[in-house]
Amino acid sequence: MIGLKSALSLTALALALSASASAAGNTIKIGALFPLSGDVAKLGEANKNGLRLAVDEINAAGGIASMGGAKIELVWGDTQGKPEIGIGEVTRLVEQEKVSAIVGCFQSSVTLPATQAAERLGVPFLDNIATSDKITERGFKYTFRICPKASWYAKDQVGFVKDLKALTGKNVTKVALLHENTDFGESTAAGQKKYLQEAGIQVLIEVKYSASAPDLTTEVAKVKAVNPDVVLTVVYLNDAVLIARAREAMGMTKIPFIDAAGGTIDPQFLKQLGKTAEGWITEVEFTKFAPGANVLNDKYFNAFGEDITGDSAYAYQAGWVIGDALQRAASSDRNMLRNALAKMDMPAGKHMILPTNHIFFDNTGQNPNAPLFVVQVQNGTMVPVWPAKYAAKKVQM
Amino acid sequence: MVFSLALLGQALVTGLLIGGIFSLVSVGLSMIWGVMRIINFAHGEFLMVAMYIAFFLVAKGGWDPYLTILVTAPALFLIGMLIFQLTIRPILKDPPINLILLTVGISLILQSLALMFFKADVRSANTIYTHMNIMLGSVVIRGPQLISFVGAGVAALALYWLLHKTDIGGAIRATAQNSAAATLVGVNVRNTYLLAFGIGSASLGVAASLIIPFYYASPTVGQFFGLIAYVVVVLGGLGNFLGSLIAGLIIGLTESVGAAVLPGSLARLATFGLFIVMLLFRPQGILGGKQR
Repeated sequence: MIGLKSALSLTALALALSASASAAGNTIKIGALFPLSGDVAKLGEANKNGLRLAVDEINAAGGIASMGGAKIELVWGDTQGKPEIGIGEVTRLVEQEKVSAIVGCFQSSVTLPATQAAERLGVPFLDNIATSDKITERGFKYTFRICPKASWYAKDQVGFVKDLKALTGKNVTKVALLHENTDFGESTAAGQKKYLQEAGIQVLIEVKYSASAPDLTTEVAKVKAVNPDVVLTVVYLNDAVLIARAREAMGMTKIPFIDAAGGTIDPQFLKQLGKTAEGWITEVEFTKFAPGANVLNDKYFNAFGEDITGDSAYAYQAGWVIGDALQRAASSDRNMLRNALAKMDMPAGKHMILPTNHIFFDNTGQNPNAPLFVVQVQNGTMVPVWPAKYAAKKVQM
Repeated sequence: MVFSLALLGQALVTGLLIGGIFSLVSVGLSMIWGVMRIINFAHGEFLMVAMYIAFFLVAKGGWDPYLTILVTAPALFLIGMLIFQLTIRPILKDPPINLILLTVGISLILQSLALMFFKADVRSANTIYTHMNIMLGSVVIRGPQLISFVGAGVAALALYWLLHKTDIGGAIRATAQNSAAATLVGVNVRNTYLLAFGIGSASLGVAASLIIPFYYASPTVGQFFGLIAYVVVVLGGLGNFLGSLIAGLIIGLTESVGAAVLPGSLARLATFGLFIVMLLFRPQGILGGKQR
């Protein structure tokens, strides 16, 4: 009896609180859905921290001005890295927590069904860093994505290769492809071949391997035998280490190896290889060495004890995109927020962390302006060398 | 498709050197089968454990990688005997399926423990040997792979000597040939099983120390070497010592030459294609049936 009574009074209290909150209009609930437990919890944490930093900045600066200084309240959801849990969490956030929009959820495999649930429930879903091309290719009205599509990693690789002539005088006409043979390597390589063909660059050979192979000397020798101008790779970490060592052993350091943000961006790549990694080129979503990036990176480092990564950078950006859309919508209504996102045009400025002039969404909900940084290992650090506007150092050949 | 003598030379050299390690990894598995008719499905995971020991001694303790044999071999000898005594011995007389389930279970437990303690990170040690290379014309011989090949040869000779020139070896071989008869002539079969399992495991300790300068430790590294070892052992003839050594080299050469001449990712196909052909036409293995 006592239990029922206190439960009833708690419910009444909760109702009173939520009523007063919405009456005063001083919080807007935004769902934040990431894998906060499970295998990739550490990466989920980076997403969480990036988003939190942006929302804290918005709230500290007075909240959403058009809504009387309303504050954004993040409501956390945990996908555990599982698609079915992701769907359940979307439903919970929408139906029980009454969020106005959801940001998430890092893994493409979870984001695909989660956006489907959000579409059904009519709630805007902002994908910060799940890259599967398909996510914005299904004609959804409520799905928006800031980050590049997976195939654009190959596009920017080729874009960089084309720019090498202007940057260094090296005219690339023939390349070799070297990649691991699962979906990651195969689909990126398909993009490489497409964009290379468009650029009129010849593919001399395509060498595929299993990433668990104990040695890749023969595969690298196969690449060496055709004498390419550059080598485009798609690698995981362990095979990257084997390839880098074989490249050094075979005296191929004059031939640039250019990776597509694979195992080469793991801090272990530099740590395990030391000098052997010198000259390697790869792509990243964020680098603290880009002009102006260090200020935000220092702030993030002080708060969370780590550098900003691609995940946290795009989560941070998502926070400001939501803030911008709320300001223009002047409402926490899901459809008004959805329309504000569709009309997004956020210029470069102090809330822009991406190497681009402005962020907007095309009619598929995709941000077309999501270039990657190309970085090169120079004296033991990865410095940005492309796009030229954001380069800190020149490419070394 | 590219093909050149330099590439073929490179493939042959690399394949032979890697094959040496395949031989050493497989020979213990073969011996354990020969003596007590057990396929140890945790064989690869034993190697993984030894590789972590070697890695941490090198990376954290600053040891010379080849000196770590002094720790990895005895450690695996003891771990092998302990696991045998506690888990395998009690069900040794059970139907073979129980032993398969047991050793598969042990392999899963070891993998999960490694994942729990060391995360999914791959760890490779940067040693002074890692960057040693010898150029033969346009063919590069990777220093640590050459050392591992020689080391595997020495270890195989030592194992051969142990099996053929010592009393323990005599007991092991006698047990392998006929355990009932061995018991009659006074061989303690129970202890022989224990020792054979320990020695078979210790050979993985040696292999791990030889591998770590050019490869990496990870929770799943045992799956790759385990699979190779089963193929090698069957190819060489179950329980055949010399057969395993030769089959290891053949598999190494097949993988490497396959990678050089076959397009795309068909290199693996060459290895397992060879395996299937052997099973169909010569299931007793290349040297099977002649010697055991």
